[in-house]
Amino acid sequence: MILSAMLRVKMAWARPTGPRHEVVLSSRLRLARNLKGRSFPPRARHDDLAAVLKSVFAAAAAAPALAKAARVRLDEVDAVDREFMVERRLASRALVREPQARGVVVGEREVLSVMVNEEDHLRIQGIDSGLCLEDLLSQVSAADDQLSASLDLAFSPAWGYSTACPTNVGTGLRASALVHLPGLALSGQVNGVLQRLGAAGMIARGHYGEGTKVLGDFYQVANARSLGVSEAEIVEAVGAAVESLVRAESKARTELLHGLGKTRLEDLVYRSMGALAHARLVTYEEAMQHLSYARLGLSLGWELPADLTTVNELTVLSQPGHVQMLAGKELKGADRDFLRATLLRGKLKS
Amino acid sequence: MLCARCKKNAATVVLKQIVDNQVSELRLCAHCADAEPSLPADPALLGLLALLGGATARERAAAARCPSCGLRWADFRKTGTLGCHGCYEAFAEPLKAVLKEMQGSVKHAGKSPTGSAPYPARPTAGTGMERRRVETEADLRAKLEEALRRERYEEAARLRDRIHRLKDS
Ligand SMILES: [Zn+2]
Ligand SMILES: [Zn+2]
Repeated sequence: MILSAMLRVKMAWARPTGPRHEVVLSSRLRLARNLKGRSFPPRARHDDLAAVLKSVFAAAAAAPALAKAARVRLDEVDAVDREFMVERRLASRALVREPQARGVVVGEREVLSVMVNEEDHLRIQGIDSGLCLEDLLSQVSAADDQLSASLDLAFSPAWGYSTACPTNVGTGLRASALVHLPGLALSGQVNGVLQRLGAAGMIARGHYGEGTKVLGDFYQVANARSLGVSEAEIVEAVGAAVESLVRAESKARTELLHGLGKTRLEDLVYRSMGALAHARLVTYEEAMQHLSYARLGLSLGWELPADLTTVNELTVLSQPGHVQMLAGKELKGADRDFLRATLLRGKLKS
Repeated sequence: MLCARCKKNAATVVLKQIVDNQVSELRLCAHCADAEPSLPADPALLGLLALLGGATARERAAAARCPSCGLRWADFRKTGTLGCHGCYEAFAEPLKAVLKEMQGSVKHAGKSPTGSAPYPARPTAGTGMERRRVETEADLRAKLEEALRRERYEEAARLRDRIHRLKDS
């Protein structure tokens, strides 16, 4: 069915082709929108949610930007499929927790998508490779315009788009980038750098948004404000913050490479390549740490028996839901770790 | 190195958490790492809840209910989420103070839904696509100048956005 077909399709955002991809894995931008006359999802009754889902799916079918999109009702797919969508960043944990009357619209190559009845009625999002927030803004905003042609959105000229949580009110916009900072982490500078970002009005979080466990030195940087600034200003500010991170990370990598730590760096990278290519049981956290160092070595231009596309994809495919999707069934811890190790070995054989 | 939780197994996992833009590291065995709970999600929401918790001057609003969805300000203080579009109107005053503190502004400066300005008068026929096609950039520029002359800046900003969008399409 649709979801296992997705496993074979490469996500646009895993390609190592976007601007600044040596540090910026992907950019993500979302607009929060709600319909007038219906309570926000946290307070809505089932009837309201069902009506919202129906009208959003109909609006998506009529929107040219989402014409070829798949419309998935979360109560019509099983738990493994739902976990898979979370790992694919098409659905949030909060969305799949209560699958009834919840849904996701998934556009081509998984660039554009819409979560229906998460905290807000609509979360229109775009994800793509590298630092590309301006491009995502124009795509997501066009989809928003097309959807709003057939939906009556909750909006006021004074406070903008109403959202369930006032942290999103106004533009409803959150622009973020998933950045890979092993150089800053290894040289002990990551805290200082993140603090400066905080002072500049940015929020730094762990890998993949929902939890706060940082895996493999991947961090997410996003805007804190959504009101009193325009969409273009937000995107510009986040873009500038990410550019400064790219510069700091590149400098840190160069210093590590030329300093006394070079052998230590090589040891980390080759040790990780060894584990990825030979280990028999690999947990998800372990996989992420080793893939992080493999990614570092590759972006330094080292000759390693791997390529960036494969390594980026493996950060996604190593997740528990993807491994289970590959197996076609739910797996217990050790079985999962064994299958993950087999997958990694197969993809990274020298 | 031993796992920081059970102090028995070898630590194979480094968990890193960010609190207040500070990374802290925790070295655990795979078993304890699985059991480790994630911190609550959104730092912006945590900030809002802290703000609401300390907002004693706004206690007076605590009993009032939104006429549309029945949410009380006291409910909002607990969860940080409002009930509906009407809540923004019903709690306009206390919300303004919260937004000012949290967002640094109480005034929207972004785009608006496509449709004829000024919002919320929506056309009865036609889709946004058709409307955009018949309205030329020159029409919008004339309207923009008129709006600026009358000092209707909100409308002017919306028109400016529509001109930009027209150019992009
Ligand atoms: Zn332990
Ligand atoms: Zn309400």
